[in-house]
Amino acid sequence: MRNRANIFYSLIVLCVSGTSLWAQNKFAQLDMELPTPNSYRNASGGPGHAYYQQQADYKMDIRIDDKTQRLSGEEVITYRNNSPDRLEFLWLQLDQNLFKPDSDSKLIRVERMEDFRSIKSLTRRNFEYDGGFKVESVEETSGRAMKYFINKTMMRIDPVKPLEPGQSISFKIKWWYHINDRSKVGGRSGLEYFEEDKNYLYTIAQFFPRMCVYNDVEGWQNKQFLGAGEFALPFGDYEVKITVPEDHIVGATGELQNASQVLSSQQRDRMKQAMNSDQPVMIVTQAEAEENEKEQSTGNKTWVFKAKNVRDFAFASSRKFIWDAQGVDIGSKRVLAMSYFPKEGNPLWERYSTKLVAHTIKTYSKYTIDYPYPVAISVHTNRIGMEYPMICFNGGRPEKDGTYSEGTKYGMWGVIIHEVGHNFFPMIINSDERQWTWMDEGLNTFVQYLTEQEWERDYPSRRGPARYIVDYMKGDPNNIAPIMTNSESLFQFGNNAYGKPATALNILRETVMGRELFDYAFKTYCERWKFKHPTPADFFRTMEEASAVDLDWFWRGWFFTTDHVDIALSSVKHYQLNTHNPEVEKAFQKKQDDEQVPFIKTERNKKDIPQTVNERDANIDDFYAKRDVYEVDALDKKEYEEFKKKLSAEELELLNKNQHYYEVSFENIGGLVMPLIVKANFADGSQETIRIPAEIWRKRHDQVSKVFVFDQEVVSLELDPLLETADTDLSNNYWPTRSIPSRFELFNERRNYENPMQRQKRLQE
Amino acid sequence: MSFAHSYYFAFAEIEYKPTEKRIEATLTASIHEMEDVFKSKKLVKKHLEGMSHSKENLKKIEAELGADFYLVLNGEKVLLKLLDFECTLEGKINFYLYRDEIVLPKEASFLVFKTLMKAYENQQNKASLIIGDHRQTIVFLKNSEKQKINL
Ligand SMILES: [Zn+2]
Repeated sequence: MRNRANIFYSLIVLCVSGTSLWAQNKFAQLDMELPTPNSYRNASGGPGHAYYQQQADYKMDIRIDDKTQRLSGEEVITYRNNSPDRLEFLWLQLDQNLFKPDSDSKLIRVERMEDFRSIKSLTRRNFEYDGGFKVESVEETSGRAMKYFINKTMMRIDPVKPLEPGQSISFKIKWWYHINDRSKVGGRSGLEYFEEDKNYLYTIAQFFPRMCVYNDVEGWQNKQFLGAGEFALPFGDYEVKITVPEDHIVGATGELQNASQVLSSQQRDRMKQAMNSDQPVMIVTQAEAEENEKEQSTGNKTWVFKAKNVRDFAFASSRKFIWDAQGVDIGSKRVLAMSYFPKEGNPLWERYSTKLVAHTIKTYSKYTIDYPYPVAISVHTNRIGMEYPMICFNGGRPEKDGTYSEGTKYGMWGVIIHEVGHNFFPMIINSDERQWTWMDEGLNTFVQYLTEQEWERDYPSRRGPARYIVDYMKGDPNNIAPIMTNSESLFQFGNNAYGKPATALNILRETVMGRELFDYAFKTYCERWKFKHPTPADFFRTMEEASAVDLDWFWRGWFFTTDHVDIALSSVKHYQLNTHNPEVEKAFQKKQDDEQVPFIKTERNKKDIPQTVNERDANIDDFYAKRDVYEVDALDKKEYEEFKKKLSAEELELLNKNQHYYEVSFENIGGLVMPLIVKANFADGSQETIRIPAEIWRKRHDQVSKVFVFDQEVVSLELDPLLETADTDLSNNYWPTRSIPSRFELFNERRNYENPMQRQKRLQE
Repeated sequence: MSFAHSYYFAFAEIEYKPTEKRIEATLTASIHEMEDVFKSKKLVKKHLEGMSHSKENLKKIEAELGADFYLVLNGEKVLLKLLDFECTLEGKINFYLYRDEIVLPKEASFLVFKTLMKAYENQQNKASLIIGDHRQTIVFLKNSEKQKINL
């Protein structure tokens, strides 16, 4: 149905209601939700003039006993109090206490008897294993014992005198623990035993008592480690001596200090080659590693590593390691990308791992900050992926016969990019993981997506594209938590802390801000907070400040609520202007009248009444009956001329343009306000897409309308044609209405086609 | 960190076609999560992606899925038939299920959706029902595994 609108009354009637509280909330600034800016963190989202952070330097002596699979260590921590506060006590993290038999993480697990229906599940339930820290001593450097108290995964040390601002303290801790077998008790680090050659592969982390963060936001971050929320750690310099069986190869955070003592001259030569090569060079080949596996020598060797300005330290050690490396240019520096993996990782690992490491640090450097460390390492473990500064442990294992599925390949690629990417979030841009998982996982998953797309065109990224978050977000919001929820209270980590924030950032980049503004602001955040401790507010504020885009509505909707996107194209009305030109208007009226569907009686009467009276009797029809209402007479023409005289040249031109006006109404069903992206398809096959900022919803949140003006008549309209807003119901996005095939129907259609392999077969016949 | 299996979320899109008296459903979960459960039940040795789509296998999977995902109509358990399954490169597995000769009784149609809940403490599922223009999205949790279908 088309309407004729008179030019002299307003075309656009926006439904402007009073200020409903609800609508006000959607676009209100985040004043209540964010902490007040102060001298430590300023209003623009940067570190304030009084920003400080603590420093924790470590000197460690670590030993792995391959016979008993025990790790023992001694460390001297030098802690510098850069805060303006006097510290009566110091808090350290004993994460390995998660593996104590009485750990809270076990006690707080909700259980029902029906969860244990098999003997196997009961055995696992009752499996007792003590992998907790055995702290042997805490001493001053003079050797005098210090007072300490262990509260589950936290240890408090009480110095004799409080630590004053600007003061440092050094103390020594001695400890040991059983290294957990990851296949039995899980864990981010631990050991893997290879039955066939009777060798261990150690990926070691969270292995030493580590200082907690003390800062302006939380004081001591001494929230217990329950398993989900990861770590909050201060920066420092590390010097670590690692003693392992002499036939082990060790990879670690930092630079190797004693290559001449632990590497052969051939290996050292290969390292030099690798540094200058843009392709991986083998430092230890598979043949050499297989030889090494057989020896099981009993002597020991000590590897020494130094790392500057890192927040943690991890290492891997095994006689099974194959080792390759290549150089990669980052800014003016050359970084060594390396991989350590057992033969079980091949053929995938030799082919891809080191190249992926190099690609990841290069791509992340483009979007965030230049990778600042000298090495970047990927170590192969089974299944898990876990990150530490400069080094990470990654899954992706082929079958025993050397074959692997496409899924395994993409899984391995994805996990290496993800874990190497964690060097940037949170290792360098050091957010508090225990409090906010999304700040590292979400931001990292977002840049992971960008990196994957640069690795292979149309890479099947698991998270990032808007359409993948739709299932999770749609419907009942009561059982999902906002992104701004503490890590331990989250359900569905994968979607909430990884997928949703990564999607939100993608939408910000592609749909709300545009790539140029987004990239600049995102990089600004990274530059401001590298080697510092940012909070969510610092991120939110910086993104706005560096882009001049008010994003409070976006943070509010996507990060503070569980609303979802479901915007419907609810009605479309078509108008054309009344030209007042009788030639045009009367012809238009005739066409409209001719197109009217006749009443049923008209049709039937044509047959049943052969002739009416006035058809028989010529004297019945008078002036009214005889006149042609569509005829243009002199008076019409005169009136039109007079009408035209009242118009300016511009008004007349507009009138004669014969444009089409569409009043389109939109309904917000899901609650999240989003930009409106409307694509119009015209009869001649051409298209036009109009993008309207989300602020169109600012006065009324549930319903808005907009008038679109086109030179041609529209055949159809689509809302969100490129699926960029995570709209959870596409069935209401089209005019005229379009039915959306279900997944089942789509599959059935696909299934009836020949698959690529069948086609190939036919080709060969 | 990134566990291969950190979704703890399965989703089902279920369409009821009243004129055909037919139900068509797509159950989506993470390959890794499903694979772990199937391995523990000895349904698959290595990877779901490599599992054959033989009639025999489909029957076994159908039975396994049917233990946790089914309709209850007028108090009676109604199982769906497995047409096929498909693994995506994004790490998801889709199971395509259907059942003919189905009439949903107005006040007595329920859906049970506890897939993976026994295996994962934090598992939560969601189903999206389509019946003509009517749409309903239902959340399934550990203590609410059975939910009413609004007609
Ligand atoms: Zn991660």
